[in-house]
Amino acid sequence: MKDYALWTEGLRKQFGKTRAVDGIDLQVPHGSIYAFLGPNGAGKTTTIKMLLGLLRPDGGKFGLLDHEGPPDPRTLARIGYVPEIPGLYGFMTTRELVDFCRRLHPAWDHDLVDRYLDLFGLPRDRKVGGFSRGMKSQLALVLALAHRPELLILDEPTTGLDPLARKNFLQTVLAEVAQAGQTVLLSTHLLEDAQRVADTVGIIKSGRLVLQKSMDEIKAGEKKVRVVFQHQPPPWLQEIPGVRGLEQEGSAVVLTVTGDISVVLERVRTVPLFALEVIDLSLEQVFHEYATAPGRS
Amino acid sequence: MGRVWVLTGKELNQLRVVLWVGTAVTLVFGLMVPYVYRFVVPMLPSPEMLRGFLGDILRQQLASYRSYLWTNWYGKNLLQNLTVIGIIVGMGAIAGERAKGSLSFLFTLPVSRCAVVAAKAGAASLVLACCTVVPTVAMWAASQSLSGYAVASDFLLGMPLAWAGAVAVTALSMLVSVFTDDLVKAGIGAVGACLLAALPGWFQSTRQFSIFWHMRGMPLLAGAPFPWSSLAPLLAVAAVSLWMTAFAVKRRDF
Repeated sequence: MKDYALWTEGLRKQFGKTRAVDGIDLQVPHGSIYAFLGPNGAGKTTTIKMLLGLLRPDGGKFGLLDHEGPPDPRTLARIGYVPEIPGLYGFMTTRELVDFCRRLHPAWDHDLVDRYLDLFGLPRDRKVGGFSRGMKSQLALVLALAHRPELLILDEPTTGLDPLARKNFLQTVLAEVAQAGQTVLLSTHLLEDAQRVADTVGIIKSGRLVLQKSMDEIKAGEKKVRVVFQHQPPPWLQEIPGVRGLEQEGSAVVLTVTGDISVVLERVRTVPLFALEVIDLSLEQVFHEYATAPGRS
Repeated sequence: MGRVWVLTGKELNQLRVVLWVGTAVTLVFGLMVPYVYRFVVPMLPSPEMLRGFLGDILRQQLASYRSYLWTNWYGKNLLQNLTVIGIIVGMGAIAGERAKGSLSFLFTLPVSRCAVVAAKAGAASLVLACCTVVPTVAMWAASQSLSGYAVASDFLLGMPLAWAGAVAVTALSMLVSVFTDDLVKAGIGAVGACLLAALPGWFQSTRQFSIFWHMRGMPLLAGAPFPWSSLAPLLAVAAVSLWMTAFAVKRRDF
């Protein structure tokens, strides 16, 4: 597992009778931006909390950077974390909070902090308790980035950000992080954001990882084929290797295909057709296919 | 160790309101004690005229200014104030941070959870020391200079016992606060734990098992040497409770 900045093997967590995380195997390559996607309640935050040692797993193994198991202080010094709702100390000013974190981190980049505080327009001498949720998210992000972590774990970081701050975050901050070779685990349900920045995608549904692929693999391997047959559609369509789903759209049949599409096209062309169209899927459509379609968990 | 100091500084900053209000309120109570003796006690009926349980207590308390001061300060006002302050500080230590959502921020900083518990305990001990020393010394000085009642300086020896008892109360409250994210429940739990700790003190045969009995330092009032046998169990209760807190904090889900 040394090839991965973050990995899990059969990670499980149960709350009462509910299986929040049910044996997931995450593999986040070094230097990648990994979009961890899933509907609300799918188990994203529970997984992240287990990775950070805030929750104890019921089973399975995991590792961050070169450390296996819950991170110790030395590993935590190499990780940056932004939770969905940042619980920063409201009684401190921005300056005090920055100073508090600086004294706990062996590596601290003052210039980067100043630059990002200016970028987000965060006041330095105001109490954090008076900040809006978006401002707190921005400050949490600055604090998470300030020690130049090797691994950045972001749990819905753009929730509560206004469009400009979101753009700044995605275009400026993540671009710099990616350029520096830092690894990012980005948990989000904003698929547009994920599509823009991620190079690897994992989709979790009901606590299970239903897809884990690079963005290139998704673009190349996740398609829809729209076919209008001259006669009745043949009954063997769903048996073609790679066909995951079949829908009737008026006179057309739409096949959802994973993997090598040429096999599907070859088989379909053996039947008289009026029309055949291959449609690329956006990440949103892929997400819909895997995360919201029934029976895919 | 450096990181524990940084965390302790944060905790002291967080507890500054408790520090100022706790010290000020205890100081007011402290300064009132000699004045009550001077102006109110003469208005009371003579203890010799009182019969029964109340009469016995009053006769003991008013036997001398020293015994009055000791029973009203170490036995009542300081003990009660420090207990309340200890519960407030302890119940907010973990449950308060959980309720505000700052615990996940704290636990993902590069510090061990033992360091977090140590810093919280250290800051609480400093706050309690301030709430003990400032009002006690002020009251002792006020007794001599303002009211004209001289009290031997061995009166001040009661402070370590009162402080150690308050630290034990705080540590017990901290332990309770690990198991809930609700401040009210943490407070109720801490009060319950303190009541349990006080229970043996209500009976003559078991009183040496009560935190609050040791906290009063009654052997000192009787002129005995410093009761290390009272200080040791108080510090032991505090140490065991803190160890259990650190153990629970490492193993709980947050």
